[in-house]
Amino acid sequence: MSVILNIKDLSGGYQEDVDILMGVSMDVQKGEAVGILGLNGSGKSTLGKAIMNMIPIRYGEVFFEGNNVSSLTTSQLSHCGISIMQQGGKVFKTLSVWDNLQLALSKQPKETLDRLKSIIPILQRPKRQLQRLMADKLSGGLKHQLSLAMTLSTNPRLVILDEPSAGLSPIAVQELYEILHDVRETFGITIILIEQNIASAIEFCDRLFLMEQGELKIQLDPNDKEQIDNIFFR
Amino acid sequence: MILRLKDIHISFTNAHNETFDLLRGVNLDVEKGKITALIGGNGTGKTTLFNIISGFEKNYKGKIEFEGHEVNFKRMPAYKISMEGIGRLFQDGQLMSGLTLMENMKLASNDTTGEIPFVSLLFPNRYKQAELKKEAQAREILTRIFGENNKYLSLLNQDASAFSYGEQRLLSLARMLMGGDRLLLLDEPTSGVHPQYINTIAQIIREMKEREGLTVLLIEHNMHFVREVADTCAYLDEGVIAEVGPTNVVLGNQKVRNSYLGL
Ligand SMILES: Nc1ncnc2c1ncn2[C@@H]1O[C@H](COP(=O)(O)OP(=O)(O)OP(=O)(O)O)[C@@H](O)[C@H]1O
Ligand SMILES: Nc1ncnc2c1ncn2[C@@H]1O[C@H](COP(=O)(O)OP(=O)(O)OP(=O)(O)O)[C@@H](O)[C@H]1O
Ligand SMILES: [Mg+2]
Ligand SMILES: [Mg+2]
Repeated sequence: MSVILNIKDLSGGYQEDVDILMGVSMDVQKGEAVGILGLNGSGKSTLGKAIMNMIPIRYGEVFFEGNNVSSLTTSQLSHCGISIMQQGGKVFKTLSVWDNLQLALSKQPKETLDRLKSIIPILQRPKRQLQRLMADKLSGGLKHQLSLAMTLSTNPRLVILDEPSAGLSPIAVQELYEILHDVRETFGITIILIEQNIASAIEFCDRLFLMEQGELKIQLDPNDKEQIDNIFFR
Repeated sequence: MILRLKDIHISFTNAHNETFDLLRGVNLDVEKGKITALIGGNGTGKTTLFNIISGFEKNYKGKIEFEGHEVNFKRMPAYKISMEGIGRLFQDGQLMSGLTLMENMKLASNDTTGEIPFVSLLFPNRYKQAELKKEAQAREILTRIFGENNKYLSLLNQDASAFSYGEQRLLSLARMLMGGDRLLLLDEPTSGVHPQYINTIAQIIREMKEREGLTVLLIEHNMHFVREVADTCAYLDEGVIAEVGPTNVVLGNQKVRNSYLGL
């Protein structure tokens, strides 16, 4: 195993003088799935945005595949192989589903779409339908599927998924995690998973971290049911 | 019965004149003082049904009765419906950015003293009293959800956009409790919310039902929560309410288990 992502003492936030992240350090192994859990407002999404350089970092460094990527822009990072699915599922609302996909897939070989098609249900609809369906008319769950497809469309080696199962029906959550298993097995993609759906995270992840007030406090063992119950369902 | 939906139909036509029948005769009775869960697959039309009931979608066929009277929801602008006592939490519900948390809370109150022209100028005391009452109510609600001395009490003047996604959803739900509505429509109230707060929400909703006779119609994909709060469950499938009844019965139904729960 080799380290794909190494975060060193990351601090920063949305304003110059208010740190939300309080010195976060973490190693992620290639091919691993690491879960980040924690209360609303604890800083999970902020960590994702900090890795993607979407907010100002005051201190600390991020290494990806051995290179210091701290000063790269978000789009440079995505060309390097890291991509993020943001919370709430971001899509271009004024475009059709098809055009959203074309934008995301523009520089990718045709096989990428075929591959995504085999795993993401909404892409299996006829092209005509996707061309005529505006993204802002999608239901909450279908919008999430589109957002996931766009995130995976750049062929990333590391993805950060910020609550990918939110808004999905129970059966769709199962399907999503089957998809993510496939994505991992077939393409060896490394995953950082932010979730409030604790059961899914436990089942999917190799390691879990608990975030508390901007710090990665505890590393949890996904198999330690008692510890998990104590923390989340007491 | 507080709300009765009779034979609701809706179709959408796209730019190429192709029509799609989404709702094909929805019949649903929402019993007063009860909590009803509306479940169904992604894209089956649950949110669209809420849009109809709250006046955002006028292009439907069918009848709606609210508190025993047939109401012409098509003619009523959405804000009037909300003044009738129907409150709604939106699926992507976030607070209004540019306003503080306290301003967001106060705006949801049904006490409009401060909004009557010149009241604040002519009757400064009356205005002040009303404002103080709303502020106290906001604090009380936040304490109920987040506990004594919680951090939100000290962040009342923070701009709403500086709260996390899940915090904004929770705080939007808190706003709903300001209004004194008789019917709450909640679109996925637990989505993005930490399990600890999900339990709190369940508890608060049950309390309000028991103490104040509040009626709730909620859309949910979290079955643990549905089992905890819902007296009645309705399953929307292929444009109709395919199953309706006591929650445990509906969730035990073979078709619901196969095609929705994936069991
Ligand atoms: N104004 C509209 N024009 C065209 N299609 C629409 C319109 N409003 C809704 N739809 C379509 O109707 C379907 C139902 O959407 P709706 O948001 O009601 O689903 P839902 O049951 O709430 O699903 P979810 O659980 O994913 O939120 C979707 O396929 C959506 O694209
Ligand atoms: N745009 C913003 N501007 C200023 N502060 C923000 C902003 N977004 C988030 N924050 C603050 O940063 C802290 C962490 O937010 P973050 O979004 O990382 O939480 P989270 O753990 O992802 O929560 P959730 O589970 O609700 O998504 C919160 O206290 C929030 O108030
Ligand atoms: Mg978040
Ligand atoms: Mg919906």
